Amino acid sequence: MPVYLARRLIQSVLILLGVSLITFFLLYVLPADPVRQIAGRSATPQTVANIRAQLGLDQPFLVQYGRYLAGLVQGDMGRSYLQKTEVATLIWSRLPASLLLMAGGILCELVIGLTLGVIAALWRGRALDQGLMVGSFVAVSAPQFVVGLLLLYVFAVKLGWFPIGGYGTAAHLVLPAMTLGILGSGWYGRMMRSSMVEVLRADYIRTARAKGLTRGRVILRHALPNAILPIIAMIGIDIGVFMGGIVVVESVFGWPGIGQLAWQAIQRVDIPIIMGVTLVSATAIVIGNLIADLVAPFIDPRIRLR
Amino acid sequence: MKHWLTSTALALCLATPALAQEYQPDPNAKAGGSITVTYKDDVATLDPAIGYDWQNWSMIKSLFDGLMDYVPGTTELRPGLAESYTLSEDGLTYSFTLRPGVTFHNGREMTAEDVKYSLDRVTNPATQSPGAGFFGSIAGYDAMATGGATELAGVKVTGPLTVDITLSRPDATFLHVMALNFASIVPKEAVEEAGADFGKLPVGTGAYKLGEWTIGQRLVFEKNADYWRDGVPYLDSVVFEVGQEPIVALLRLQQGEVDVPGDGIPPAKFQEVMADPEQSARVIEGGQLHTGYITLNVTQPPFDKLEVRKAVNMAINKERITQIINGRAKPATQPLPPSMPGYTEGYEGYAYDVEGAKALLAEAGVAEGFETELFVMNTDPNPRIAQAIQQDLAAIGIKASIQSLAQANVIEAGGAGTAPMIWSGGMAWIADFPDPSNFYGPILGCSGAEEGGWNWSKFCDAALDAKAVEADSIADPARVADRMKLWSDVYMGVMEQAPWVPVFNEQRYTMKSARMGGADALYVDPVSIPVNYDYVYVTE
Amino acid sequence: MSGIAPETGAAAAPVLSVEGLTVSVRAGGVERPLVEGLSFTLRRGETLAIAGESGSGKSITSLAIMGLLPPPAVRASAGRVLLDGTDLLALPEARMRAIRGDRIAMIFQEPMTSLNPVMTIGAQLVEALRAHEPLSRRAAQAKALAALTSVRISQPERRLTQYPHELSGGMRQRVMIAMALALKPDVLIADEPTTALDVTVQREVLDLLRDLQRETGTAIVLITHDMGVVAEMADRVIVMNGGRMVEEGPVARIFTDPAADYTRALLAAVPRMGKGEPRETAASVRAAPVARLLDVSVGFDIHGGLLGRTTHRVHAVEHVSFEIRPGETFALVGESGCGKSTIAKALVGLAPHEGHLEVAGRALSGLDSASRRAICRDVQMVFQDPMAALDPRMTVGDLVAEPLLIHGIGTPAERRARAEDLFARVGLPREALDRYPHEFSGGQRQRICIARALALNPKLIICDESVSALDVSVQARVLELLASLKREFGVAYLFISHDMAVVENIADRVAVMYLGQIVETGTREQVFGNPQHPYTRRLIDAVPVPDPAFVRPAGVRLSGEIPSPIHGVGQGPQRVNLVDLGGGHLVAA
Repeated sequence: MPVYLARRLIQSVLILLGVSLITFFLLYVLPADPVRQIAGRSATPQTVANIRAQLGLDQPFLVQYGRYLAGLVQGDMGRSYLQKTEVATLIWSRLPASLLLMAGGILCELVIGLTLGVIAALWRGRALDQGLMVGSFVAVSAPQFVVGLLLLYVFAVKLGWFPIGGYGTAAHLVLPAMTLGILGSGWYGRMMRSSMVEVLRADYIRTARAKGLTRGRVILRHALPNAILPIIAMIGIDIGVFMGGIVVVESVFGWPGIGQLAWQAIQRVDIPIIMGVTLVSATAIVIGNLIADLVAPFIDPRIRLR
Repeated sequence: MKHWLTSTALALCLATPALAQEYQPDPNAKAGGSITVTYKDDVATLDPAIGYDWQNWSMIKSLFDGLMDYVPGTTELRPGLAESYTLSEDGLTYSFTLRPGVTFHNGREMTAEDVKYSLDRVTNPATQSPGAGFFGSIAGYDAMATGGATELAGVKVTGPLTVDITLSRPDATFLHVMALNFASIVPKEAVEEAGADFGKLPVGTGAYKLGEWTIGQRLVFEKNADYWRDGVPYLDSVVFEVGQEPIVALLRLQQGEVDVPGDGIPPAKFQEVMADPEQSARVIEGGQLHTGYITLNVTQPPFDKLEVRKAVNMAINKERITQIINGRAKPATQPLPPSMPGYTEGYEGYAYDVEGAKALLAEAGVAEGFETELFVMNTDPNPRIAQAIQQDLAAIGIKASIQSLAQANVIEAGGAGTAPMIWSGGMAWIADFPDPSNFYGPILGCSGAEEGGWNWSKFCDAALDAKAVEADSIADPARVADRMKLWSDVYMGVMEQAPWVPVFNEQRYTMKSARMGGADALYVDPVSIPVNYDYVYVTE
Repeated sequence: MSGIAPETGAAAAPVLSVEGLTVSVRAGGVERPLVEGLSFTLRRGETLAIAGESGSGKSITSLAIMGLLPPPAVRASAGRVLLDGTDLLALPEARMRAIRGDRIAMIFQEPMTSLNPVMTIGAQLVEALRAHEPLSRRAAQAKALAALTSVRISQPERRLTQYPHELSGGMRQRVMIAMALALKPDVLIADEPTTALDVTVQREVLDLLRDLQRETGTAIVLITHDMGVVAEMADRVIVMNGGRMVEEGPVARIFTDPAADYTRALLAAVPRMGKGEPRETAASVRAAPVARLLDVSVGFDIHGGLLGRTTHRVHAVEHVSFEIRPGETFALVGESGCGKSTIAKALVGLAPHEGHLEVAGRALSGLDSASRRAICRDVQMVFQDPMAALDPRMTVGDLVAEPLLIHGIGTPAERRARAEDLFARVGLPREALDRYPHEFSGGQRQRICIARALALNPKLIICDESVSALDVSVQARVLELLASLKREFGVAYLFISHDMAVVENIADRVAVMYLGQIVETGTREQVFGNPQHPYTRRLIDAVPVPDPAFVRPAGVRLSGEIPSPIHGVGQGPQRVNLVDLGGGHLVAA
């Protein structure tokens, strides 16, 4: 286990290095000049050249990347080009909000998705199942921006149950987490349904019934834990999908997370922030997957970490 | 501005304090209260040397002051931290006398040294100020820009409250430059203490001081009780909430949670809001120093032919394009917007004339039309406008394919000169200060036509450039009319050569909550977008 | 023990009686009977075998008794199932649940999948006990341990905390039996309880079941297709075919004097040990071998550690040498995991090997792609599961002609003609060419696979458990087909099977594998007639004999697990030395 962990950690560092190199390179070759964004339209060529030199953007790619990495290992993610603030400060001040939103979203999609998936599987082929599957299809295909605004309009503006966007209390979290979770709940619902349908046909379910167990116990104790196994691995991967989702949801609900930060930085070609958010997201995905992998053996005894 | 400048004496003029009181504050104004303003994007920085987007522009204006200022709601200059100034005979040296007893937010009194420090700082390349170039007419600027000096030779402190600024050439726009945010006076000790974080810890002399800044959530401006202008600001505090989608901001405004949606009325909701008398009554319309235009790259065939450029000018149905944005603009005839001094009244521009355009194309030898590309920023409504342009061009046989890209990529293509046509929407020129010169150099002059410049037409006419230089050297306030005539001639010269299709001048629409008071002009202030925070108030 | 009458008089009382049971399936609005008018009684302490081939309705019958028919499509539409006078079919689910597992228990065919993979053995046993008896957790655990002990599983305390995947198939079936018998049910339904097990394990489980029955007096309904198992276990037999009872009677009479034609045909198809007629080997010893293995080993690395270095190695095949001559059937026998299928993979280049391996004179290592293609033409495979081997979206005609297409042979018309020809050879109508795999029965599908294997006129066909999944009557016909094709085309077979009886009936020469090595090899007569290695004897002795009169020699009870073929790097299994007993009969010393 310690060996496994050590190897996974080394792998993770290599993955992050790769991500940083690729992202840095893509930003380097991007047909958009960050200096022009900083300098604005009234800047003289002299000003532009000065700023370029100040930021070291006149250096060759490898020098720029090397400098960035050197800073990174010292915990320095650089300063935002436009905000002139430490990227680390910007990200750390926003990261808790994003993590909270993500946790809420995952909870939401799991609770909704798994519940509906199980219900659909138990009533498979009936009208309820078909209705739920159509619903899940809608959930999967509905644009989050629209879903978010719809929820906001109905539950915040019309019914006044929740605040209209913002951050701070548990009430603020409900609608963004729902919006984020609805898409995933569609996926999880469908996955859970098929997983459950398959498990319900398994021999050990027949064995459990032959033992004379109640239907509830057969489903909860035997079918559910087995049906959920493939889902667990998905959650790790899902964090990557969530990173995309929080950009939209955070902007709809004015949620002060790193998704907003990333979106603004991309529009302004603020490379240090884009790099920082990319690396933090990649780290989150790597950690998420690591946790999913570490948890798996506790749920499925057949999995052994090597 | 004309009024103020012409009312002064000849070469030696003195701005008397009495003139500043020409602006009569609202007699109904009530002090106290707080308003909430929303924005979608984070506030980038509040460092006046750095901040250069329309969002932080007005915020910085309320935290800092420069030597010069504008009468609220107008484009008229008035003295700011300078109580008065004199201009030397040769028109090259301005001697400013500072207002006594003005203190920074940190309590220290402002002196002439601070003026010098602030101007040195903004022109020092290490500051990375995007506005450094505005100070190009101050003697010693070039040495600063190239790193050969650490102080501006032309700025001399002559006493605790007096400072002389010498120019290397006559510059009629200099007082406007002194009213720019970039020329704000900052206290050296606070800048040095904050270091690179001065933009997050701003200290100025302005009507408000920064109370709280929670990154990604909100900023709170608190009233500066020691503000040197008596009676203002009225509000105790202004709360800026960031990260708010415009459409959500509108919903919150309707619920009474927001006073001013900083990003304006979302286009999708514009007609709905305007159709509701209760809401439209709270929408204030005003002009702005903006022109939306199509650039025609004069270095790329067939746009190197004047007939083709004129034909394109005649082919565009500007009236229809303004309808696409719900009539939130007026068709334009020339580069300058109507509210800008130097605007040529009575000039009709190129009338919409499809047959005439076809005839011109035939004259140019491309009667059968040609294929080209139209670059456009990829946010609504710009792609829709580009489609309208595409249809208009198709009517005269020009097949334009639309390249819808992110802003940075369009700017890159424009600067590199690879784009034959660009619709300027989303990146269009909004004047930094209300003077016709501000619409020329970077976007129509030879200096902007260089690689990476903002002159996307790559239009460069030496004779017009010379005329522009001549106009800007007329610093004598008595010859303002001559200067404006010259500028009018410059822009007419530009239209003659048709490197642009001026399409429309956007109107501004600011929505406010019912409880907000103050003259309408304060809500469409040409230099403080969306509102002039110093002079608005709440009625409850 | 077979054929011995029930020992106690109490056995005469019926504990379960089925009267006129009809089970129907509803598909497309039409009800179709799967089991029709089945009646039988089961007395205490008695073993009743329900024998029949796939589709005979024997498993459906057992599910109907248990009330476990898959709703809503399948239901018991008529008849009664009386347990001590109570009609189970009329009971509400709650009351039926109380009977299930308590009064009637069941064990299933697939021990590998019949236990919940994420629950410990102990938890699954305890759960079964506590579902019916108000036991404390501690008491239930004690009882579970007792149940495991009674099925003679090694280290029962440890098993309680283990998960199913940590147990072998035989141990899992023991757990299933322990679970079923823990509450001393009146009736145990055993649905093909040993079909998926290796022959030696089958022997142990059958012995166990019989011993436990003697101790508890539980009546057993034994559902099986294996007439050998029937002969060994049953007191009475019901033969089913197509959902109906064909014949019922005491086991001895059924075997000696079957009344129904179907029973006679069924018994005739059963492969019997020692019945393989002596025959001349068509293969010429002097001819060049179609395949030759010399000291071939196949291993798989297991990685571990920080740098992912190889820490362990699976020694799947170790130093195996043999030859297959043209026109002969060479059989590899052995139990699961002995490496017999790995050799097949190595022969078609799907497993990396060490040592010398040649096919039709070409060494397999270091081939260019042209030679590799040639080898693909020379060696073809027929697998155990024909459904999995046939693309369900292609017509069988296209499937059979596909190898020709891949190797660019002939025009479409010629390929079609060849497919028709092959179909005729394997005994399928030519109209069937345009149908899809799902329209065929299991035996027909295997014929299609064989036709496809023949398409390129291969020199060697590898039959990897190719008849194991087929019903005996079908199996007999497919074996006949293979034999006639051998005569006709002179093709050689590498016949891989765990079924000793089948091997004895088809093979010319045999190699017995144990833990990756050959422990005995020789002609069929040598190996079966004069088995020398203890493992060979054990395999042969374990095969159930389809003769109720057969008396098994005492003292061959075996137990214990086969050791693991996984060893640390640098270590390995001890290499066996083969000694020639004369006439090519090699035995591990």
